[in-house]
Amino acid sequence: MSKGDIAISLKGVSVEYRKAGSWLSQKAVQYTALKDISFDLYQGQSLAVVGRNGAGKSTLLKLLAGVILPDSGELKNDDYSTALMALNVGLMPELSGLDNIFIIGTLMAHSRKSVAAHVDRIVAFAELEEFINYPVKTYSSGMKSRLGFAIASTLQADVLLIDEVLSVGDRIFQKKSAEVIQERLKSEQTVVLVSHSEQAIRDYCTHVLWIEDGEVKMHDEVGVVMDAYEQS
Amino acid sequence: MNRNSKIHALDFIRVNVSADFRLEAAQNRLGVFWWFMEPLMMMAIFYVVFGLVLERGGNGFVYYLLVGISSWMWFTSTVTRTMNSISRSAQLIQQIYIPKYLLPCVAVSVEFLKSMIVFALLLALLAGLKGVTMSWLHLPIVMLTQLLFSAACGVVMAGLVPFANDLKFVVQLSLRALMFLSGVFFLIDDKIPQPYVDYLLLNPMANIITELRNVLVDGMAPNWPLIITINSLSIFLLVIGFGLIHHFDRRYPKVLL
Repeated sequence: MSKGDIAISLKGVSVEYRKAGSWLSQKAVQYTALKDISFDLYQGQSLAVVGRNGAGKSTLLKLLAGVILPDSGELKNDDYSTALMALNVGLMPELSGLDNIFIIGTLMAHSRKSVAAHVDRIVAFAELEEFINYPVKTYSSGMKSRLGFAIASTLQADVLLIDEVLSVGDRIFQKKSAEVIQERLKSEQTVVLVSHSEQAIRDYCTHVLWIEDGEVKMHDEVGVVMDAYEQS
Repeated sequence: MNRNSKIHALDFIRVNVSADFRLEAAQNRLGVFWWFMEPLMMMAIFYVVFGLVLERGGNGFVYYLLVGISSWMWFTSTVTRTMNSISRSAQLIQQIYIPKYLLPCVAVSVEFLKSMIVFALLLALLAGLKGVTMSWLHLPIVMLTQLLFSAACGVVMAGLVPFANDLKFVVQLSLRALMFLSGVFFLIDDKIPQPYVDYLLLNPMANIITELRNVLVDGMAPNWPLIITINSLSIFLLVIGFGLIHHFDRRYPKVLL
């Protein structure tokens, strides 16, 4: 896996949602979340995904994370691990931060041994100290986000999918997480960022994919797309 | 395919089973204490109602009753937890890929371990009140038969429930009906007239409970052809169930939206 290789490739990908209704009242619902999406994500690229609410950004992230498969078209993701770094993914509130590190770590396809080897770094990065042994439900929302961010960024994946994570925590931690992301970008980490913060996108990303109503409206370098997007 | 599918399955199951136990311990003030108290209280209730008040089946009946209740509690709790295992994780599987077959595996393991506590209590009671016989050596095989059968029922339902939540009601009602048809509170050969005995014995759980009683109370060896038949049925159902879950692996997140 070197820079310039294609990490994930989408060709004419569509995703439909069908929801069966109740026999007694509702009718079945069907809608197309993504229509005929094609683009390549290269190793070491940092791609921002922009679009209005409901444009299909979350569905696209689910596709990239391997949670769902396309209904038509082709998605190639050979042997790249992806980690979705949304806020508080899968945290169990009743359990301690430490237990949660192991749960999420094994979810991210790490062995228990490998998680154990990373625990100290995660705890230190999340700045949780003795709170790591307390149930997550006692955490402030900033602490929860810090824990989620620390786990996902320490247990590295080949492709990091970041959903609006840049507004995490207090200002000091924001600075720290921004540094981590910048460092990752320099070290050829592939990143897909979904954010409404135009500043963050201009700061961190090289390319932008603009989707509207489930279709690609524009896919180009960051300056070109963001100028057009801000005009619209 | 995405490398996340190369999850460390055994580590995942181990971590999640222990998480489920900690979760239950953390939710109640008495915590771990309930794993012993709940089955003991259940046994006490059934013992008082059916053994003492209704005086069913004479003196030795209490032993049959305790075996029947222990076995039945294990069966219903396994089927119920396993059936809900995928639909219960709706939130999580939207966000991160998990091979879905692992979820019922966790559920079966949790209920297995909890039931081992119940069976330890049961064996201690039987040993104290009645004594141990050589036929107890057959117990692991009969228990394995029950483990496979309850897992099989649960796994098949786990694969289907996300598509029609209504199935949960059907299963709950069937379990309630089956409780009375599995001879938990009576001995099938003893109390039931023909031809109904033959019909009742089409139900694997009725047979498993009978076999457990043979082994633990009556000092008999199990009926081997029967054990083999039930295990074959369970394996057949497990193949169907896991096949179903594998087939819909990446469809469940969309269906459970």
